[in-house]
Amino acid sequence: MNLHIIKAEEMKLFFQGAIACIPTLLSYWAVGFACGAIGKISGFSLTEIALLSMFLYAGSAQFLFYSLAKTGADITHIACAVAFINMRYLLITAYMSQFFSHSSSTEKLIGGLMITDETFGVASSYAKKNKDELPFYWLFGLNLTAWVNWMLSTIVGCLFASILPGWLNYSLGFSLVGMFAGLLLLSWFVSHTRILDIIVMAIAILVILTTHNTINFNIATILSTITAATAGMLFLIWKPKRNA
Amino acid sequence: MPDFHTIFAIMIAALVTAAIRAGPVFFLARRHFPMILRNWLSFVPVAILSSIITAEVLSNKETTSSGLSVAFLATLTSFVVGLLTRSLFLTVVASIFSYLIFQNM
Repeated sequence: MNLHIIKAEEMKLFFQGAIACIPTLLSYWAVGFACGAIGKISGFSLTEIALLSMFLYAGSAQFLFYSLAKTGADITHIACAVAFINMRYLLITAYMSQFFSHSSSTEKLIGGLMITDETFGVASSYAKKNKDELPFYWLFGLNLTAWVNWMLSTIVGCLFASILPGWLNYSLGFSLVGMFAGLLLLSWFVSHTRILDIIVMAIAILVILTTHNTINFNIATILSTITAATAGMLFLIWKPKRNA
Repeated sequence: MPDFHTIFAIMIAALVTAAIRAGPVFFLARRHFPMILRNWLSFVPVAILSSIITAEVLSNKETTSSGLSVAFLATLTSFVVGLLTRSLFLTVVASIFSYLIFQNM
């Protein structure tokens, strides 16, 4: 009986997580379609594109993979480049790890493997709204919906690559920025530190602007995140003392 | 017929990404984070999203006929729509359509 109640609760959380993914699906489909279409145009087969989406499951890394594999780069080069472009996930999953303190190894593995920039944005907003709680089944519903839609959208993009003109693919690809803007705003709307968040945003933007043309974007993103988050933390420490 | 060299490269790239994604969750989950670190982590989402947006806008070189960045104008429009509607879906719609409009201006 209790087991049934637990299962019902888990299912409910799973579906709530899946529903939370719906607002991001338009962007997943737009970017995924463009990613599949560009893969096809770059000479990759449907199987290769589907495998990339299923196992690599990272838009920017997939675009990078196309250009490297197409130019005949060796495996070590590809592995290093993919590790480099995905380095930001170290920070993302370090943040996410705090929600897995009571989770089993399987839950940690699934939760870690399926996280993306987008589901991280949605999940962090949920956690902020729910007293820093992030149930595994909610996250699983969110991540699984995102993963399935990403795979389907890249496959459809590959199959219908010739239908859309290139300029429209670029515009669809840009929806990624729109989604990040929306996720940033969602996170900000539920934040308890809105003014500090604006300062953190400004510092992050400033670091990227000043390092533009001198440092690689992937390093700059990590550097700006560390700098801006450290500044936010220092302001947070300084603020209560100032008020005291 | 899939090229096996490419399939092998896909699997290696996937393994590298999996290690980066799942590693911190495994190694940090049971650690008790001091308050200072939790405060630091609480700013990571805002910082990383702001960084990615700025990097994406800067890497997009397309301009309007008057020389303004299409990506910058479309991002600005997306933020305004997001602030007004508080809807993720409408923000994404705004980004696609504003990019299309500014692209042809």
